[in-house]
Amino acid sequence: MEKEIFSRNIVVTDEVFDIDKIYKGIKKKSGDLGYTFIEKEQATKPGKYGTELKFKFILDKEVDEFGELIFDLGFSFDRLSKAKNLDRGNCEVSIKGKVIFDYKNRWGMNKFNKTLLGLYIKFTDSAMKKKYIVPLILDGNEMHDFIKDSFGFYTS
Amino acid sequence: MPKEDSIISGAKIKYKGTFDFKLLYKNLRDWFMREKYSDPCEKGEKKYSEKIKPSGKQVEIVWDTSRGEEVGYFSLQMNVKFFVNNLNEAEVERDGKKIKIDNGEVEMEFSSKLVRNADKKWDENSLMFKLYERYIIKDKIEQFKIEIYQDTNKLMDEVKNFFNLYRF
Repeated sequence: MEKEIFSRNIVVTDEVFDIDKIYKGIKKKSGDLGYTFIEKEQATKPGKYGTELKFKFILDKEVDEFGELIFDLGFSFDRLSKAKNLDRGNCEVSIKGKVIFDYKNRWGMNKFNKTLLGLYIKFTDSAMKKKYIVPLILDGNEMHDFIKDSFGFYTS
Repeated sequence: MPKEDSIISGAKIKYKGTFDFKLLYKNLRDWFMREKYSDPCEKGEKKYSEKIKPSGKQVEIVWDTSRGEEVGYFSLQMNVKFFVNNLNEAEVERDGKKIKIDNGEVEMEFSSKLVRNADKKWDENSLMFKLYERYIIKDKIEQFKIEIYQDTNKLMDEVKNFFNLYRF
C-alpha cells in the first residue's frame, strides 16, 4: 500500500549551472540521507535550440520490515549549451516522495487482508506519521533545498 | 523453484547522434567476458532482429547473461536490451581523415537480479532451507545483492562512457 506524501517542482529558466556537479551531488546527498540510489534513466539528444538531457533517479530507504521511503527525482534540461566550463539552459526538476507500507507483502494480497492493513494504518496514524511520514518530509525538504542550492537559488 | 530478488529493473540509457554500433556491441560483449559473466552470444542471443525501414535500419537485441557463485547456489543475472532506430551510415572527419560511422537513436535497458537456490538442490519449503538462508548465508545474500547492483552500475557506466554521457 503506497501513499504519496511529498511533491515539489523547481523550474530553472536560462540559467548557468554545472550539470556534472549536480549529477554527482545528488548521488552523494542521497547516500548521506541513507538512501540507496538508482539511476533509472539518462537520455540525451540534440534539440532545435540546444541539447536536451533527461535524468531519472530513484532513492529508496527501508526504514524497517514494514515501511519503505521512496523518492522519484526527474531532471529535464533543454536548450543546453556550453558556457565556459559550465552549462546554460532550462531545467525542470520534479521531486516526488512516497511511503510504501508493507512493502514485503507480509500482510497478504487478498482484499480482506488489504482492508485489515488499511485499518491498522488508520488506527496507528500518529505512530505512522512519526516513523515514516515526518522523516520522508524532512528528507524531501533537504533534498529540495540541496537541488535549489545546486542551481544557486535561495534556500530556507 | 529458485528464488529471485530483482535488484535493478528497466534502467535506461538513451542516446541520439553518431556512434559506432559495431564497437558498442563488441565492447559490451567483451565487458561481460572480462567480468566473468557468460558470453551473451555464445549460444545465440535471446533475440536479434533487424529491419530495413525507409528512415534507416531498426535493430532489436536482447542479451541474457549470468555468473554462478557459491558452487552454483547463487546466480547473478543480467538482461540487456538494445533498441536501435533510424540507423544510417554517416561520414565524419576526425584528425583530418574521413571515417565511416553510424548515426541513429539508441535506447538500452538494463535489468539485474539475484537468483538463490539456482541449482535447485534445496526444497524451498523445508525447514533446513529456511534456516540455511536465515542464519548461515544471510550475509552472502546481501553481499551478492550488492555485487550485482555494482556490476550493473559498472556496465551502465561503460555504456555512458562510450556515449560520453554523465557518470559518477
